[in-house]
Amino acid sequence: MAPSPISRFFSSLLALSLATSVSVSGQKEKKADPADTLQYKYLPTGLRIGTDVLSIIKSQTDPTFKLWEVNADLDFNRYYLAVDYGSWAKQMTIDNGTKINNGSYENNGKYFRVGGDINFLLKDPDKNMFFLGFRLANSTFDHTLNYSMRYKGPYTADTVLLKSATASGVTASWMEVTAGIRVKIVSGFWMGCTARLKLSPSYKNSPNLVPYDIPGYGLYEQPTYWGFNYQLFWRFPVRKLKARPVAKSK
Amino acid sequence: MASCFNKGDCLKTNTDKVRIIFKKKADGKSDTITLNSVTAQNFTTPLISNAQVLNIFDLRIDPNQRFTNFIFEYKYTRNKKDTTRNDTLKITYRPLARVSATDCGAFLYFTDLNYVKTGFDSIRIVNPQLLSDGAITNIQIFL
Repeated sequence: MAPSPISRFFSSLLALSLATSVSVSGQKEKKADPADTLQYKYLPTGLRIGTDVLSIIKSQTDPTFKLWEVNADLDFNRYYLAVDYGSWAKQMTIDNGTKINNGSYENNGKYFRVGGDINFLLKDPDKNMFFLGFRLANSTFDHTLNYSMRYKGPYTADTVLLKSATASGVTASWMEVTAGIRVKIVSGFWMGCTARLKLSPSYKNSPNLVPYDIPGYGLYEQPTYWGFNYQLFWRFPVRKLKARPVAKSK
Repeated sequence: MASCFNKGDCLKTNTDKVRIIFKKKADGKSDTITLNSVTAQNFTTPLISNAQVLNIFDLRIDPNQRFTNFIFEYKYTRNKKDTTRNDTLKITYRPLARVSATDCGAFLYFTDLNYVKTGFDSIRIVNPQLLSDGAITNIQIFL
């Protein structure tokens, strides 16, 4: 069976990350790297805060979709703690081409993701990143479905019923595998892209309505879903890298 | 314009029918009874009338409520002796609206089927979700 595009993508990422690791370890064998001489190498050096530009563009161009997202990460040597927080409100028209079982669905909620990234460009002096990561995500939202339903049976005469289902304080959770880059443009200003493979959505507190669209995830009926961010970041240094004193030769 | 049901991925599986099968308490095998009538409480029109000999049948639930109370009038045979009985069965369920795709439509499903009151000796819920798949039985009644 031919490999799927998803598996080909992750195979390529894995190959690239392995090649990067081999290259980095090769450099290490040749000469001692300045980064290896740093004290407190697992203490964070900077907090990076940014936003997803695609979300802003989508919100401006699509009147039925309001979305914003803030991203932050903190470095611990090659490991990064990543946190995202966002808002998502969507309105959808349900139209199956007939006169019944149509209507509208809308949701409105907030979501966050927490996880970690591993940077495979550890030795880059500008701390540029090519990373793989993992996130746990959670969303809290309200949603409403209004629709029409034809009923012909023993309890009601042949009629079209207008039905409504709503739920507040619905919670949903899912996992994400992430890959992406962060590139320093000028001092303190960074650009990044993140691709997300979202997995295993589940929800609670919506007894009468199955979520159609989960804020932060997308279509609930899809057990896996893709997401993509194009991000701009500002980095705020919290600590300067301090080099060890060089030992005097006898 | 073509309906979404022409598309393979717009699979509609909801129903408002609960499927009931009668079984013999002694051996658990399928039992054939004469069902004289089934009515839903507070509704005059019978759901089943004109005595029918059967062992499996579908009853429509009230979609505007979270319960339906059925009244059965039936006759069954044990040891060559006919017994005629009237029994009630009150079932509860949870309506669940679902949109599988915006171009397929919104549909009402029923789930968490249970019984809260019955005159039958023994009842078992075997599938708590009402689905239009003809092979799925929801309730077994043992006589």
